[in-house]
Amino acid sequence: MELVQGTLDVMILKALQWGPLHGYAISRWIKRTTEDVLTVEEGALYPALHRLRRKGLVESDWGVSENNRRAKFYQLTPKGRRALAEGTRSWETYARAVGRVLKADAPEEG
Amino acid sequence: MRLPEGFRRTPPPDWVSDGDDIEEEIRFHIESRTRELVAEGLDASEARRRACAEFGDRDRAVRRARRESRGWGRMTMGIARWMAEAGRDLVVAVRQVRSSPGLFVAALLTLALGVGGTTAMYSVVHGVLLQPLPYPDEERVVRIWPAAPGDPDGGRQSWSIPDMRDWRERSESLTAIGAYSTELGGLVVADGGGSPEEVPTAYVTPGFFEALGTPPALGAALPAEAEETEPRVVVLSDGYWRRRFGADPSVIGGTLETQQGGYRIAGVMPPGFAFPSPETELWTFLANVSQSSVPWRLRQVRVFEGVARVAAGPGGAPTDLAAAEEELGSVARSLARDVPDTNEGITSVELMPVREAIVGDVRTPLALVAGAIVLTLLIACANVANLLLARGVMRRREFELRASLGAGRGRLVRQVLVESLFLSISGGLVGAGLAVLAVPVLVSGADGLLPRAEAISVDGGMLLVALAAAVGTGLLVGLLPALRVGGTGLGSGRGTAGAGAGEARGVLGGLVFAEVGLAVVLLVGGGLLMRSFAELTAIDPGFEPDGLLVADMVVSGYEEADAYLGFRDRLLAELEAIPGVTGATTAKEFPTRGTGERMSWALPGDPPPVPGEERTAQLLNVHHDFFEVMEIPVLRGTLPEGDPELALVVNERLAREAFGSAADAVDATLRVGEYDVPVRAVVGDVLHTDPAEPPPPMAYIDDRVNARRVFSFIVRVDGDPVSFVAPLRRAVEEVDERQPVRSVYTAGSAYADAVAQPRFFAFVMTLFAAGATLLAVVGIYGVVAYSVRRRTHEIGVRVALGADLAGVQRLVVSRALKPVVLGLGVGLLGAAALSSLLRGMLFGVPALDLPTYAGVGLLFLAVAVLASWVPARAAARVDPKEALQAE
Repeated sequence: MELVQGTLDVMILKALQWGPLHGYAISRWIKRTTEDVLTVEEGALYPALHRLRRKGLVESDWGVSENNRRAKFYQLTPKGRRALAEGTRSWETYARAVGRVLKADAPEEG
Repeated sequence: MRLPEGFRRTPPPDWVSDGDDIEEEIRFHIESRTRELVAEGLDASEARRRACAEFGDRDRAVRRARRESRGWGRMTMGIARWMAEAGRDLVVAVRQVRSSPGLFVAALLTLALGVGGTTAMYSVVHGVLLQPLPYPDEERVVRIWPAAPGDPDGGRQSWSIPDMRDWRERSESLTAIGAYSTELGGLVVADGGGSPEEVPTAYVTPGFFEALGTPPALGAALPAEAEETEPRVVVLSDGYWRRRFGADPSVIGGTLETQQGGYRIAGVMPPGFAFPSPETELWTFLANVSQSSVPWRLRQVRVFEGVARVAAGPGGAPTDLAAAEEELGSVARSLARDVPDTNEGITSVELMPVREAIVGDVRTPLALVAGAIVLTLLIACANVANLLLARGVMRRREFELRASLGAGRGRLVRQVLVESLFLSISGGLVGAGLAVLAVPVLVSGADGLLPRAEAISVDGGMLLVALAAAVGTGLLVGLLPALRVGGTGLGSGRGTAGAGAGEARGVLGGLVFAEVGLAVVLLVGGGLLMRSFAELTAIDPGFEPDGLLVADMVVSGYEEADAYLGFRDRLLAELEAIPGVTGATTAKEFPTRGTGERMSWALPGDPPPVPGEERTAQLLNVHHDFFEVMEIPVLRGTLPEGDPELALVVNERLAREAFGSAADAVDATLRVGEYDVPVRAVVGDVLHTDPAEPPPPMAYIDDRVNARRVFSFIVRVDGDPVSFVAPLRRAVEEVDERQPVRSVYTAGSAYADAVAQPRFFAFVMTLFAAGATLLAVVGIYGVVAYSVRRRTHEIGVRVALGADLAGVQRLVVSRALKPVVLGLGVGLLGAAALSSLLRGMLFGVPALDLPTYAGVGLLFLAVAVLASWVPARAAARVDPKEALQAE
């Protein structure tokens, strides 16, 4: 299933909710969590990360990975947390609305 | 990482620090994934391949991430980066030129021709028609003529000095008025070498310089009061002052020694002051001309021209020429009542702004040239558009590929922008150089034909307009493909390429159609003018011009008629003694330069004519050998021989007008003034000043009966007349060393002068037509070459399937010709519609001259076939194997 535009950003923010991660770990987390239903083109992840950083939603720093490699870690800023909360709320509103439409009965003839 | 063979990675510039970060991040990502897959049991190289495949397009990710992190917040750095990248674009642009120089050179030449040609021509038009004259409040300065509305010649008359004085006193609408003449013989000055030179002189009355209002560059113009107190003063032209006195300012107050006596030098006029004509070099008072040579105090001596300054309208309102004409007309009518003997019939006054008087007769041709400029510029723009569109479509796929690899729309647009600017600016510079070179050539080619030629220089404004048109076209057309790539977004690349090509073919066809149409209009115009010129030069002048050498003189120093006729006969004898001279004669004016004086005539039985309705002819005083030396045929009767008698020889036209036929004219009588004069012979009509006009009715009179001191000496020689110029001058010196020769010319050159103006405009129009045709050919070639290149694959298939070469060529050519034929048709129709504008300039050729139109059509068709056949031939020679691989 293709990703709806803009969802990738929220998913990245969500992945960072529990602490700093590097890019590869973010991509693994998304893949695992969605049980491979949503295919995120891995190449698209990095532009998104850099966009979020430019917007000030995440910050980045070089660190050392679990197997002692140099890797760049991303971490939410306070602004990023607010954006995640906001994004979650609007996504739920959106999903509920679409869900209601799809479960609705036949329109009444007027 | 090792790149596959044949790829090279351009190291990113050192200011792209993010780039390294991103690449390292991605490297880490792929290595981590590879390790994971190895842990799952894959072998190393397979794991790496899978990791890369899962990641997707790596370069694109790097580029997009870089772009995302750049953002707009770092504007300054962005601009620096933009400039640096634009520099790289320029390098790319230059590299592209080197890879396909043909297209670039074609576009460059088109631009250069368009910008340079139109700027040069506009500069000429501007200099002649539009630049201000050196007279303050120019619109108030007018030429002024008394007019007799009943007169058959349109009523405009020359002027007498007493009339001028009365007008000055009685009229209120003029602030200054002056009379002048340049026909009274110049002051004769001994030049450095000692031989006398007659300097073209204007004799003027007070009021002349006040009317023009131009302040002198040095000293003073002729002050009105000086006519009484010190008439022997002279003003020099800038040109004469430089040539004769080396621009020495101390000559003011000095004396100009002339054969007519010493003249105090009062002032020097500024450069560009050219009134009455650019030839005028000296101005002095008419008071210096004696009554015995020109009785200018008499009211009936109407030989003067007038110039005046009209009073400004009340409260700064624009000058009302009609009201001034009305007021002056009432003055003329009151004079006609007061002095009916001389002024009956002169009941109105004509005024004409001085600019119109100077440039009037070249206005129509120059307007045509201006039209040609606009058409040529349009064609040039269409052509550049054509070439760039063709290239743009070819590069569309390149752009789409780059867009899908992550190149931003801005990046692509900038690339095109840089390339277009590179082309436009180089084309514009070459064009500007062309204009700078062409203007002096045009001005010297137009020598003496265009008034105010000295005011012509390359016009900066037009250069800017032409450059802007060229650059604008380049940008607009160059940007279209890039913008559309940006609009189509990613992923849809390949599908739209074909559709775009079809669309572009439509646009290209439209441009070829427009170009051909415009070029055909120009070509028809040029063709008509060339044909007209050929007709003009094919006219039989009525005499044999080959072998004739002419010298104009004003004989001075012989007061009595017998004395200067004696001088004339001695000179004729001296001339005939020159070896190689077969005959010598004189006339008051040489045909094609002048037609003598106007006379009115009647038949003896006629009632006295109403003033203003007399029948007129031109009267030329000639030596009795004139017809023989000129080889003018005698049609009827015999030329008078022996002692001079009061008799006339008339031309065929006058014979028909007066007596109905040449035969009836012989021994008939014409009443001229108070005399009944017998007609002895009828001679053939001779071409006069304007070859496009029919010869006027002419009468010739023996100059021993009616002598004139102004002569043209006409010598017929064996061989090249030019080699007789020096012997002729020596002969004059031999007889009387004080006599200046005004000018020496061959009859051929006098004739060439008479048709010089039509020749110049025919030449200019032909130049435009040739340029336009060339541009159209380049356009056709470009489009066909482009479409052939687009269809190489298709052609290859056809050839591979057994289509014969000729068939393929025919197909390509016939498709290419469709817009050409359409354009041709519309262009010919347009030319026919516009040709009425040319009618006034055509001689002996109808504006709808079928051979011209057909010739232009055929020429264009032939050229178009050639232009499309060359690339078609190349296409048919394509190796099918290569062609099939080309896609």
